[in-house]
Amino acid sequence: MKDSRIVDKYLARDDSALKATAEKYGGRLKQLALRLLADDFAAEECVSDAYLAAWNSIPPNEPRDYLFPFLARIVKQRALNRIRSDRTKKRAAQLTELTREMEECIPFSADVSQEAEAKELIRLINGFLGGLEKQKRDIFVRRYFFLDSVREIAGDLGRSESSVKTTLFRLREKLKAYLKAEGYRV
Amino acid sequence: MNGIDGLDITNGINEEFIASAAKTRGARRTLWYSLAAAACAVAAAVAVTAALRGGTPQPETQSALMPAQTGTSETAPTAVQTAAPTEAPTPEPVILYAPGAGGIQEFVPSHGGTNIDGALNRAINDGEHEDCLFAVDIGVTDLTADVYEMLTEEFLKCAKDPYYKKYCDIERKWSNECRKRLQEINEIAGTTEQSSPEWMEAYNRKREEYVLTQMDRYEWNRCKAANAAYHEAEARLGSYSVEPKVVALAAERLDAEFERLKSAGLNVYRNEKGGICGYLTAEQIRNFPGSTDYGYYIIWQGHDGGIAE
Repeated sequence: MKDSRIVDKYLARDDSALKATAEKYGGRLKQLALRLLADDFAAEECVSDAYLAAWNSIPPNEPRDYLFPFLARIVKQRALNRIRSDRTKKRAAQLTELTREMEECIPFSADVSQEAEAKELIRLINGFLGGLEKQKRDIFVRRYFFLDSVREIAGDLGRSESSVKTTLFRLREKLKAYLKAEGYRV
Repeated sequence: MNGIDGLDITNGINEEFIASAAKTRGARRTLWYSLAAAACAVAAAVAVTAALRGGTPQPETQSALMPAQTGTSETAPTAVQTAAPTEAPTPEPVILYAPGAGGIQEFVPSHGGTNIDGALNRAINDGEHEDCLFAVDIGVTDLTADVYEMLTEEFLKCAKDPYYKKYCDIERKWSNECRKRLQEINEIAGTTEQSSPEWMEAYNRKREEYVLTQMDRYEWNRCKAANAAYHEAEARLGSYSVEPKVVALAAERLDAEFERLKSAGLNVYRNEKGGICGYLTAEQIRNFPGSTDYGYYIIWQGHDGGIAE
């Protein structure tokens, strides 16, 4: 079912929208949650939360063209909140690697609990991504939004793993430099 | 700010960038398909263009597919007239075949009465193939399980018949007795060849004489009948699946099952042997709408040169 049709169902308060969403994106959303949480049950809960959040936020939102990104964001946020609230629990192994990579390029000084600062940082990152060629941008987004492994990215793009790793390293260095130029201390 | 916060920040990445990156997930597997489709579309456009011009390309025009000519041509090539752009067709979903020969390699009982191979089970649950179609064979088992159950009941009834038990008891006693009477039987038969009809007749006569010293004829006849019924029920149980009526019943039920799966929205078809095959999504396989009356095997088809993980 097309995203537009699913969104129509939400707008019409037709609860088959949730089933349609689950059928189309349930697996991918759960996979995303599992990449952060090494816990099947917790991942299921995040996905369920995403469905509820979608129900509560469509309308006024109408993510006809970006339904999956819309849902994926909610799932990621829920999963990260869980991680923050319970740091003693085991995390997905890949998460450790991802957070280490993030820490290489994001500013320590930023206080993202302040909405304005968080928005500014997001604006800058989007600006940085907008200046990249498509494939490099895709690689960055797949790694740090979709949390895909280097192997998965390499396989899909027909490149070697070392090539993708190198690209990611250079992108992090470039982002660091970009944010420094904007006044952030990394 | 720490790494977790950083991953949170990436949640703010522009939807357009996210949607663009999402398309590359599984992209390599669709690459050859898109190239093939694109090549066909271009070839079709060239054919249409040539037809519109009467089939003979003018010397100053060139095919859109050919590289521009340079050098000594008297007539400089002009811009190619191409057909007006059309809306790009919606790409067909990718069809996935099993790596290798396919079939059940690792048995993973799952989904209630539906069994699928381990490789397929992993592929449909990895979240990476939600937009693909899996080429599968759908085996339906226990189509005549009710017939088998009925025959089993009959068989067990025969096995529990007290006259059958008496028959078995008397046969055991006779086999001990027979050893003592072997010479007598050989003399009556006029042969020691135990497979000969003469020997069997002498054996049976002596057995009958012995049994009737242990029970009356009425009881012995009942025992023989119970033994015959037991062996007949046992034979039926062993060969029921090839009985014409049962074969016809199984075929009829398979036809009905095919129609039911089709009406449930599955993209299924019958192969040349009458088996059910299909192109199913991961979601359809995970939530396969099997009937509680039957069992199922969903077997990932192998395909030389097919798109496979």
